[in-house]
Amino acid sequence: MVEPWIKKYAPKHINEIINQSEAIGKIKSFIEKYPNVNKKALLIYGPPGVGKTSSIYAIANDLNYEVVELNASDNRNARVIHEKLGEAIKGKPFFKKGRIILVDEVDGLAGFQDRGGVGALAKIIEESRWPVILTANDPWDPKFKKLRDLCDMVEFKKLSNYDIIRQLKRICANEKITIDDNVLSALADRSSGDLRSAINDLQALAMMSSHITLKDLEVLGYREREITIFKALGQMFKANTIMGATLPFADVDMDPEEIKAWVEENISNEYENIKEIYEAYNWLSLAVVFYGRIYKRQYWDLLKYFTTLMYAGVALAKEKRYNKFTKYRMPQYIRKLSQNKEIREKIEELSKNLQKKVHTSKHRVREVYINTLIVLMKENEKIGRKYAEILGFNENEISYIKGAVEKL
Amino acid sequence: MSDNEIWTEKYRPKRLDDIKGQGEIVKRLKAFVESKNMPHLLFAGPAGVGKTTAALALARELYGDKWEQNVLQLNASDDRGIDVIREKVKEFARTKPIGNVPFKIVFLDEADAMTRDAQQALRRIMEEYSSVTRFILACNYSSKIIEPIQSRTVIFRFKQLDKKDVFELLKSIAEKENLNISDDALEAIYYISEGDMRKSINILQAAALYSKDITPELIYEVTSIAKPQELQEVLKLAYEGKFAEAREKLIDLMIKYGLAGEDIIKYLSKEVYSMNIPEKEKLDIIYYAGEIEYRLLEGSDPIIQLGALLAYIGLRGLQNRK
Repeated sequence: MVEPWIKKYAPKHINEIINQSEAIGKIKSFIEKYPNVNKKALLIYGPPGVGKTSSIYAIANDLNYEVVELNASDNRNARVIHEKLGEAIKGKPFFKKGRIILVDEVDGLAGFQDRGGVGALAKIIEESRWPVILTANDPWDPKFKKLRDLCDMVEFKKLSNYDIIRQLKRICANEKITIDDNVLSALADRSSGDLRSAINDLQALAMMSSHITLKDLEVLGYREREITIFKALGQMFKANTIMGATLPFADVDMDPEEIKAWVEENISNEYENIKEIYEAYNWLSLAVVFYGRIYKRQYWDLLKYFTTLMYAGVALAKEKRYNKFTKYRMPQYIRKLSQNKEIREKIEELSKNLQKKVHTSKHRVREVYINTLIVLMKENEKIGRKYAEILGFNENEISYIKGAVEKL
Repeated sequence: MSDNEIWTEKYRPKRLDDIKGQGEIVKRLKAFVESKNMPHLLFAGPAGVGKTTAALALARELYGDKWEQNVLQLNASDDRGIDVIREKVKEFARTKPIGNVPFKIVFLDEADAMTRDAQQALRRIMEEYSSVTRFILACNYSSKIIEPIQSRTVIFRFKQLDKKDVFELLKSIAEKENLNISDDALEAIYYISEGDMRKSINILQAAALYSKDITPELIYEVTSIAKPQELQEVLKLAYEGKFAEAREKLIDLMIKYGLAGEDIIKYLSKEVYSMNIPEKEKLDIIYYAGEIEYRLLEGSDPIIQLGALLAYIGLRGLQNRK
């Protein structure tokens, strides 16, 4: 059996951990100083695949500690937690200098709280003679409030494309694989900061060939959709008839609602004359209004009007066909906007108390205070923190907000 | 000591007499206090002009220091579902008012966020408990409140605050907080907040965290709206026919400031007035901007709608150059 590369290339030592030096420093000092620490446990959080768990093992290895792990595959109600960890938190390891109690993915288990999981964990943290470390993707769920209060929080950052590409290159060199640079950046793009998934993809590609090209990416399934939409866009922009403009999209496995963003992104990419651009946008704008009506009434029979106005309106806006090669783009802003929204919503979730204090609705709290908080945090951390304090956020929450705002 | 307070609360008028710019309403409310009796009320008016403040001050004067036990504050847009509201009102109305006023007050904010069906149910709740409670409903537009509720309430229309009132209030806060505030800075706050006192005071507090000297630059620095210069830049690029650049810049602004399409188009159309082009051109653009704002309501998708506006501006620019 082939060894999974994510295991093979997991960091064995602290210096092999990629780009998390601040977090690593905190974890290391927590373990070494324990039990003379501020809070009795650490809660490590961050997106998937950035090295939270593997870092703990690397640190343990360097410090000559053993790791006792309770992970998502274990059932984690109060009884199991007590059975699995009850002994470990008391005894001494035979061969190692110390022990780390690792509870992986605390947010991963449904109903965990109901079956006394949180309470049992709190007890473990309280009684343990060894450092307890928890990991989570999203620790801001209200049901973890009690755990958050017991823990110092350490954030793992999302990895940059650069970090990921560097790591993939290292693996390729070691595995004697040649790979095109554009494949590397495509893999990095796809992973959105998740090194684990990028390495998994790479291994899947390498199983088929030792020279990987962009063409091979299709095998992973996720290129296909884009190839067909790019083709359809090309045909639409060149079309001179209504049929010619609408037919190419018959094969595209995408909702017209989704396609409209691709069309919009590429109007000014294809057309150069402002009159054409205006006419294309005006049709697209009207088509969207039509879509709004269809949606409101749930009258999907009318969808053909939306698509026809969109495709043909944009195609027929040109005065004459452009004989050039256009490199079509995928829509950029949607991902950015929705990511933006998600982060803002998380911050708002933390603002229930504030809402009471200032006698107003969530909507107004967002409009007035949260917006200001985000701006201040961005412009000047010290002032942002001061303002957050005034609004009544606690230290953990402020650190989280700081981190979240950086991603905006 | 006091510098850890939220100023919008710290400077919220405590007494009816301290409320600025709503003279007639204050007079009527004081009469209710006098007689210890009042009908159900409907406060209509834009955000940040004193609706909540008036309700809280009224309660304070009616009940004195027992006011908090006698007032239930609910928010129609947050307390999802009419059943939640019914439960809370029921619970609250079960106990007698504390003090010598024969009723308690339920203050329901953003009542116009409720659907018509929910409003019908609300009407029944109001009737059910009318012997022991009085309702004060607040909304932005009374037209969004169903007729049967309107007819059971006395409607008070809160006016948008005058520039003069806003300036006066901000100046008095500045004085108490030892700030120097320039007239330009006051103008900048007004431009951004459009007479919304909550916004105005909050902006002032944010700016004061930086410096005791409040300047317009500082005001823009602490607010999440695109600065007029940045919007002018977008309009200028569009008018010169540099569509792709204008679009790019606009999307950047939306992401940077977290602005919704509706916000952007409001700010943009405000900026059209100060563009450096013939007045008649502006009128055409404003007309199309109105059309686009309308389409935005109908079909959403801000990028497409705003793109259409930028392209239209480019087209006007082109025709003007010819």
